[in-house]
Amino acid sequence: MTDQEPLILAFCCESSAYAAADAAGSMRLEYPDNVRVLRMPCTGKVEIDYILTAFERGVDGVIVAGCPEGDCHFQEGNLRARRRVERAKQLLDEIGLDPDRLEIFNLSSSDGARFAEIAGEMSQRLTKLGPSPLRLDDPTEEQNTEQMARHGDAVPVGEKR
Amino acid sequence: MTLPNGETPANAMGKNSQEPCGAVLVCGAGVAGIHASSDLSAAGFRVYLVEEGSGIHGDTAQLEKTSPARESIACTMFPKLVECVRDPNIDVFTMSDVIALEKTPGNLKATVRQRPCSTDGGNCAACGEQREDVFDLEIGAVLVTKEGQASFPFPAESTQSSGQQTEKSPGPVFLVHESEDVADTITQASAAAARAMTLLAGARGSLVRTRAYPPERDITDEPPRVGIFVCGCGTDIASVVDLAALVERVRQLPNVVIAKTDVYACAGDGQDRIVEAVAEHRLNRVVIAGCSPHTHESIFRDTLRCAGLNPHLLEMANIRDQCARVHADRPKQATEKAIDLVRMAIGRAAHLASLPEQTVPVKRMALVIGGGIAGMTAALSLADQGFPVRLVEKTSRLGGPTPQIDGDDGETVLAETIKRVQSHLRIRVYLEAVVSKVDGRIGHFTTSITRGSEIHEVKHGVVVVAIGTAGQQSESSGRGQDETVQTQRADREKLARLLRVPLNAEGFFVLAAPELRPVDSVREGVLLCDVPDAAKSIVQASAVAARAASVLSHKEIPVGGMTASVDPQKCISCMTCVHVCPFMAPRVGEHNKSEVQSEVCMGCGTCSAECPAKAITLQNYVDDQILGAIDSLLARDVEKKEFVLTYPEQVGIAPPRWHASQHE
Repeated sequence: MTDQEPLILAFCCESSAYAAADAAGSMRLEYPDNVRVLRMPCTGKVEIDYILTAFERGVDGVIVAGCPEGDCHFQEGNLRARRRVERAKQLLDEIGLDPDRLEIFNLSSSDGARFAEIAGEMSQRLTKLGPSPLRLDDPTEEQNTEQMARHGDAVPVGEKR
Repeated sequence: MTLPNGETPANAMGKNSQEPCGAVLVCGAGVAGIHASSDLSAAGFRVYLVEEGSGIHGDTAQLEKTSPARESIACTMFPKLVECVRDPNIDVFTMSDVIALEKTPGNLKATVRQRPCSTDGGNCAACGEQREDVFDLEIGAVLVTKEGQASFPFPAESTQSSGQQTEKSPGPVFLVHESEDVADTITQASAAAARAMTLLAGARGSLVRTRAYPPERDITDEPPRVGIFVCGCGTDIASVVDLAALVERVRQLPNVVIAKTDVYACAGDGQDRIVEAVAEHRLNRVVIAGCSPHTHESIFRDTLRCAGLNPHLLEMANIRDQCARVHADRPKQATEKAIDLVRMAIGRAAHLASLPEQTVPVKRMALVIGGGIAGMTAALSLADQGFPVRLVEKTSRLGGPTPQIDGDDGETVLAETIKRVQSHLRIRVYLEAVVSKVDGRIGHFTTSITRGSEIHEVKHGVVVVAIGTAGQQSESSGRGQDETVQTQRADREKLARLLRVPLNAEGFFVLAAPELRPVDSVREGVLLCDVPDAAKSIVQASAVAARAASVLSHKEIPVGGMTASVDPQKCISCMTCVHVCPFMAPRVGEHNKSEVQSEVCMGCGTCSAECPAKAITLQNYVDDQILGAIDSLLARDVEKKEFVLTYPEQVGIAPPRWHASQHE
């Protein structure tokens, strides 16, 4: 991945999309290399906060991928996720980020081909949209301090802004 | 294999009514021997695994890849080998053979000769210092695999000659049928194990030893000390991802103490190195960069327990399926991506916490769906082992199509099986009934069986699926078949949805690992007899019984510890969690605050995401862990901040418990 290419974070449901990514692996399917998968127990656990945090930190796009509708491993988590994604899109629109940077997908656990397709589709869409205006090529000290604080590292007294 | 003359130990043992011995001798530590041993051990029997060669693995480990998934054999087999060696109920005797086998009252006595391991044939001076070790083992049954025949020069009884239910007095020396197909061999091994289990059912659990782990270290006060173990997966990952560069980069990240590579982290010595590193560097979080947590998380969790850490202090970065295999043509990008994935894993790992081990009691009952020959065989085998069985059949009679079995009269076999099922005290048959709802998970399912207008609720530990294979039989495409095929296909689709086990493109249920776990579906606790061939499906049914017994013979099963919990200080009693939970786990507790019943909670996290007061956390997926992963991904190239701790004595501050000076 070069700096010009988009960086995509994918919240993947453990029982479907994550398994589909594994299936894509065992099928040796080629897909764009800019998707970073984060394992979730169910898309029903993906909070709007997580999506917005990801954008705030500078990802160019976010994928939420869960079970097919009506087939959620936890019955209706994916429907809740859809509602939250729609709400998050509204919020993105309000702050001037293109809502197309965020998308929810549904696929089954054995569908490796679909996973590869989704990665390709989003990658293409985000290449067109260009880098996120929130993306920092050089993380500022402010962000460093915030990150260190989250890691429990000592923040030097007096240097905190 | 033909049955030998009447003087064999197998036949002489036949109808002895003495108390059997709960130990089984398995000859040959190839793939069949290892799977049979692990099934037997899980089902509560002691296993003595005798192997003529110097190591356990057999020929299968020499194959590079399995078909059709092209999984690396070593990679899927190593965890099994490690499990086998670590298992306190499996005693492995390598360089050994059985030199005598005699009958004792009710049991067998095998005399095993173990040759010294370090003798170099050419240079041996015959000084006599290294002597052969000869010892006796009391056993209840023997399983002989193809690789074990050299070490077991006695006649054995075939397990395949006919439908097993027709044999009135099973002898205790069974031969495992092996073919060139790995999946078939493993199925046969499990089927042979099921026979031994049935025979020795009364002695189950009489000789088992429990696994001893070192005491768990309390890491509450320790700052994160993350160790990263990068697995090359043989050449699978190493040939694409630049592991040296990966290690060099991630070593610089916050909280990382060490980063190393290994050829196979899941192999026995690889795991030992992890345990050593945890002790040497006082690690309190472990990140494995390698393959999928779906296949290897449980084994690495076990490694952490061996190292005295809570099993939940593990995080895996899947750089094989998400990098090496899908970006094989772009090694540079694959390496970049691998670094990012490990970075995320470290960000999450720093916030992992120890979780108490929670268990739930196992419901000692099996549910069998499908009353054909396979379903009935599985039901009988389990019932003979002492487990109650509920059998659900959609039509008004048991049996299904007449099986075509080589050398046997299919109709007689079928009629006898039906008779035994109907008269068996532990089997209850529901005819003209369908399964309408399946809840719960391995060890404690709750299923609704609908018969007409009645609904029966059954609590059980495993589900066996043995329904017709939609039109996969090539020979049965005659007249009137089309409609049957259509209904069967619809039934399969409906059941797939209920059980949450998807169907693959050919209409078969998706297996956990096509080669090495041929009867386990992707959902733990759901077992499959899913082949069109009748003779094969009978063998599969026995194998399923062995796998089911390995779940049902446990009193308790761990639930993983990943459940939601409510902070009553933050709870505003809005009842949102009670409304949104699909499993009705939260309820109103003391002082009108919500509380989550951990035995009902499935760990989906819906309540924690919906809670307006952020009072609910889902253990192992807390906000800090998820946001930590996102932070680490984006805050690239943040220099590692050196966190040097010094405790000058003159200041008079006692160093904390985790400090190195406390452990010298």
